[in-house]
Amino acid sequence: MKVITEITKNTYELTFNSEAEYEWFQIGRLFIESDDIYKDLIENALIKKNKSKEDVLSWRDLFFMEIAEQNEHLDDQNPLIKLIRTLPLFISNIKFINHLPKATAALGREILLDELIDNKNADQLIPDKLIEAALKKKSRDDLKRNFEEWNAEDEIKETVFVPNKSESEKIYTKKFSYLKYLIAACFIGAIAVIGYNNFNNGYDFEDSQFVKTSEKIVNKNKGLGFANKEEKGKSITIQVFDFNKAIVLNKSVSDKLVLHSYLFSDKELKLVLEDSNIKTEVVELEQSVFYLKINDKFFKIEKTNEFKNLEKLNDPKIIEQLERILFKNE
Amino acid sequence: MDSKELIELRQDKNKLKQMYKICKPKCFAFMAKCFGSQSMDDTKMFTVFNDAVIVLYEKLEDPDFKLTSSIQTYLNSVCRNMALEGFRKEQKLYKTTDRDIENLDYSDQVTDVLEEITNESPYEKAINKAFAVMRNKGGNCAEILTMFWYQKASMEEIASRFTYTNAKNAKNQKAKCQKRLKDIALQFERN
Repeated sequence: MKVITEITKNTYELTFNSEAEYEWFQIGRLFIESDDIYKDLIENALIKKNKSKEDVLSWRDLFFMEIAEQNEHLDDQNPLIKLIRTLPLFISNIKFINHLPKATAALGREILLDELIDNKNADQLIPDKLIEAALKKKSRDDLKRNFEEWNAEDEIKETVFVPNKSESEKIYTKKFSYLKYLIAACFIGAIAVIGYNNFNNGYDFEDSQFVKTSEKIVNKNKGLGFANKEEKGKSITIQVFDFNKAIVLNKSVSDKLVLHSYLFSDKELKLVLEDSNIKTEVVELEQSVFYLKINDKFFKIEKTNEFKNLEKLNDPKIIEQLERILFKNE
Repeated sequence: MDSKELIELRQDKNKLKQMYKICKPKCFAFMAKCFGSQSMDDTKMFTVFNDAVIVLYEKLEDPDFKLTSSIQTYLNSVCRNMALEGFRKEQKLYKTTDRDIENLDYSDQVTDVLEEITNESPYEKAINKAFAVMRNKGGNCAEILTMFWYQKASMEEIASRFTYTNAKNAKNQKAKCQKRLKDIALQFERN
């Protein structure tokens, strides 16, 4: 039967991540009729002996899950299909499959409303540039207002307290007025320097209030099969600098750090991003070939002594490989 | 005979957003007219309207679902039903200016409301719990399964959304996710 053959073959590839040439229909038939599937497959030499019992049982479960999913399209008159429908493995899988629309409904409804209401873009409603511009404008406006107030004060003082001053006195008063601006400018400069210095200490990622630190295990490519299941990747410290938060308090941060950049060494990965509340994963695809996943985007990273720009990965084949590794390591 | 709008919606679900924007103010006005702003504030109307759109979306998959009126009229009716159901649950009195509601004739017409997601058996609860775990853990599995089972998306659409090279790979990933979900659910069921 074609459908049994196809499902047996496909689920084999899915379980073992490799292709093979076996008697698929015979294996499928055994899946349906055998009480000890592993023993029967090995004894009849229908598969290679290097397959574990656990994987074979998982393969058979996947087989019945596929059958259950295609149940409505199966030939009701076929005796093998009739037999399948009486088996506990099929019954449990059909129960599972039938519940999936309900199990996914809550998330489905959320996603639907997000799309309809544009909630996903809620955080993008006010672009960062606009915030930055608004902050700049606010500071400038505040400063201008201060100058205006000072000017007004000067004029009042000049009118009230110096009604009959001589030319030299007027010049002195004017000079004093300029001196005030100079002092104000120095004061702003001093504040900026102090702020800068204080903030400069913040570039030491460890002590910065804008840095979120976490420990992550590097996801390793364990091959396509189920080999090296026990092998654990090494741990890495990931520090994410919240650029947007930092720039609100001190704009000079943009002179020191570049948004969307990284610094990567053996044990550490430093990231400068617009937000530190993100999900990150590091994948070692091949020996010393690293990729970084930030939320749902991938970036290739390499070991470096200075900050480098993050470059988005667009190769769908590599992305798929990386997703597979992450899935296996989950 | 289905309305032209319904056929268009079934063919292209992206039209739902367009429809959402067009129908929303009219549904709000309708609810305000029916129940008055004292009985229903904007937040309440917003919730009811969103639920009504979900009702319509879920009905699109039902081949037996037919519309003899416009989508606007249908959504108005669902909003009215759901608002009334809400009042009943909250045991809240309302004042209506709608004669149909006064006479309760509406119940002979559209009776659709949002189906609540209830989990009867321990097995269903275990699957839902497993799905929640999968969702919290990140990765694409929860969204892939939702796209397939709730949104009825094709494998091509899933492949495109998650940048898989082809539909077969998307199908494989979906199968793996399903198997994982089942395995986690089994653990919950055993505990």
